Amino acid sequence: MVKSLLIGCVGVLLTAACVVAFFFEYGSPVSKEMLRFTEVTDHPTSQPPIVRIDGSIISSSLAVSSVSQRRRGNCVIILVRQGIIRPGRESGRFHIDVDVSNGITAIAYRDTDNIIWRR
Amino acid sequence: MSPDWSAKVMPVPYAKMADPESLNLYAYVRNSPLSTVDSDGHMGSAAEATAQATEDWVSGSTPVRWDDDKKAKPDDDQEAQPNEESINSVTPRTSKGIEPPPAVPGILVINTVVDSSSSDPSSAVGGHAWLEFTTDDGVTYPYGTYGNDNGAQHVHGVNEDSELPLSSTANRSEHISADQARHLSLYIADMIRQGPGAWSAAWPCSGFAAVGWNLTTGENLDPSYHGILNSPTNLQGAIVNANGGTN
Repeated sequence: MVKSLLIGCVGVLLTAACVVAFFFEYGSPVSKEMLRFTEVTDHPTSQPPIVRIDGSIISSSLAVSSVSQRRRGNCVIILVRQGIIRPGRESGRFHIDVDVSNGITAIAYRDTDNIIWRR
Repeated sequence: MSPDWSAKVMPVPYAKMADPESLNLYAYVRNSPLSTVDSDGHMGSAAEATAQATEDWVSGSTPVRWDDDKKAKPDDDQEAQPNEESINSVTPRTSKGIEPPPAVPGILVINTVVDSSSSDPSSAVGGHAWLEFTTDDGVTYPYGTYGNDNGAQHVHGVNEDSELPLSSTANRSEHISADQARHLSLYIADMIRQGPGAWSAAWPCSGFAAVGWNLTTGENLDPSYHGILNSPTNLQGAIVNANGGTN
């Protein structure tokens, strides 16, 4: 009984440690309030036409771990993740080029309510 | 006892086994910031020498910049000659680099910005904290420490003016005298001089802000942490508590 409890506790602790380690390494999504878009510029003549987005997270102790984009209808949704600083990952800034060809009319952050660029 | 990076048994540098507090990596200058400074991020020393170098800078005789360590260090051969008159007659100006604030009366604000709506683990340690000093003449000097490159000068350690576009989620302010501003100026100058080491010397940004606030106003926002608050979230809680429940 005691052995089972001990194994269970260790299992729970290991699972919790793995979840936390995963979040800090892979990164967790940054809310729009904790993000600053420093520049959103339209480049309609480039091939394909793109919108360049630069910004940074507000946190001074975390780093940007990834920036991703996906399409939902006529909108491109971007997502910035932040994780702990480690050697080789020390920047709190991000840059992404979004392809706005093929009928894209807007770019939003995290969900379609947070529009950051509209054609 | 060995440092955890050591392959073989060796003494812990800068630690004294007979003095357990010297092993505390999270206390700035063994919690005696009024009489001691930590000029290299390893251990504290008497504040007078560093104070002299800062006073030289404030009086305009010695330029002090974070990346110019040689000029910042006091000359041991020279006798300390405080120049109070020139310290208090510094004209406020907008700084273009990373420089300490002038020793003139003004309003000091300690700020935090945190994401309290998120349950992500990173939100507990994310956010930012900083000090903002506005002279009675209306010149604002914001200071924050950074472990990443987000600061206005893109350097690790103290950056200046980075927080001008930010809005805080909690803050506490107090009007300070020229003498209190001098304490603030000395502290900021000491942190600037440490360069990237400033980030770990008063780790993290909330520790930097809380120690500066404590040194200047005399108020310890969270006695249980000995003035070192380990996250903007904790500092926000302490500010709200000190404000009587308001942000």
